[in-house]
Amino acid sequence: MNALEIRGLTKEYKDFKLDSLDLTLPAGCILGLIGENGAGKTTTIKAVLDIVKADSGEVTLLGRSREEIASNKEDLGIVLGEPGLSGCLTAAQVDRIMEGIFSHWETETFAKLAEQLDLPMNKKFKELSQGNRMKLGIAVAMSHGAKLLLLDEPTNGLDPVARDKVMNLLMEFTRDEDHAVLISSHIVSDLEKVCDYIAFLHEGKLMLCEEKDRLVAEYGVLHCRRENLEAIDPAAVIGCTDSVYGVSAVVKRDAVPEGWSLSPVSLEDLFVVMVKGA
Amino acid sequence: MQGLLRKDLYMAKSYLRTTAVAIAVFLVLGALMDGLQWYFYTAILIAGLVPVSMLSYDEAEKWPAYADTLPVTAKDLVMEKYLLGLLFSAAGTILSTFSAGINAALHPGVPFSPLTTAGVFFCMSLMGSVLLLPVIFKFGREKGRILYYLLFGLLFGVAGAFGMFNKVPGMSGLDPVIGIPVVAILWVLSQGLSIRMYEKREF
Repeated sequence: MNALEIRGLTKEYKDFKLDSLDLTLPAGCILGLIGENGAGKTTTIKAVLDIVKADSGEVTLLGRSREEIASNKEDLGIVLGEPGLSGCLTAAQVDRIMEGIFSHWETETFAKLAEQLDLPMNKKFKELSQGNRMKLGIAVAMSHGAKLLLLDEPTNGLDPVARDKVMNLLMEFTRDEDHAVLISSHIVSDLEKVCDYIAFLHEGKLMLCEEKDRLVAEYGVLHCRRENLEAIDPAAVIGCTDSVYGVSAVVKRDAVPEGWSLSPVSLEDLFVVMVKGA
Repeated sequence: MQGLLRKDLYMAKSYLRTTAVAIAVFLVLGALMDGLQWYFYTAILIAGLVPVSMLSYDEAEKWPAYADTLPVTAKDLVMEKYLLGLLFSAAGTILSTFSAGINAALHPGVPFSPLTTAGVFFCMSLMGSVLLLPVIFKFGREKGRILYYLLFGLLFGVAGAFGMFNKVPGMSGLDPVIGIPVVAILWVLSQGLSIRMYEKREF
């Protein structure tokens, strides 16, 4: 079963258009949505949740329509930036508040997550750092038995250690095959660690959506002289950068003649050359 | 709903300390002073406007956008504010009636009917949220704040025009037997309007 299916999702603003987006997130998997600022990541997640009204398109979450989900979000854990909580509230009070909002709120899970993430329970929200505010939002999203997490830039403001902890929590979460995560970020290295699927979004358009392992197997980085690169089918060259030593090109592995050595491509390299070539 | 109410009560406890002190001062002055009963009218009006204050804080702290990620509906969010208004109006009514009772006891000759006074106070107090909440749900807190002051001016203008400030705490000019059903109907209509306004907003 797919945890999330998006077909032809379109939302047009005056100066931006999310253009007929198609995405599929199988259960038990993590899908990373990579894009620059303003690429449409937040709009996608908000449109999926019906927080912004899409112009057209179909969305199915956990087998239910967007409208059905909008009226019952118990199965979803959502982080859309910092939680909009009052500056006077502490994490301990948020625990009591959420207990009265979610029907399956797990106080013990919340306390455990707060401890794992080093989140102070009795400090007021206005006194928390941006990173700790994000941690609070993540802890809330993961403390009520959600099956699908929709996380928009959840690692913003987190230090590398905290980011690593959050990524580990997500991997742990998807060990249950009924669970799935859609996570957007422009910190590509985070997503590279945990994602099963990767989608590149650029100016509201989906550039690709593939299994991460397949992407890594399909593309490589070729370091060579400019004239050598010209021997390769131009369609197989995704993009390249020049240096005094020659060129570094991201290419499709199967178009490279045998015997040429290729370095593994990072998602960040692949994303950057794809965007530059778009 | 329970969680939403809990949130607002935590916030009220933290943010409205000054308001609580002001209400207490007005109630004490209203009880003690001769001919200045408007003090307890003011106290009841302020108590009735607590949900409006909470809604302003919510907007400033981007709560509506966060609430969109939680399993609460527009109806839950709106109804909770009205329920909060009801609670504070009830509490304000009890305190103001008590203050009016003391005033009547200290000033012999002042007729005092607790039920009538409480009924009128309750109606006055609820009218704050009945009138303002739909406007703030529709236009946001900035315009709501302007209306907040306009409403105060209007209520005091009306009170002054009817000579209420000089009347006895029982306010013989107003009849809660008619007022309570009228305000109850307006309260329900206002909720429906607010829900419609809230559903149309995008955060």
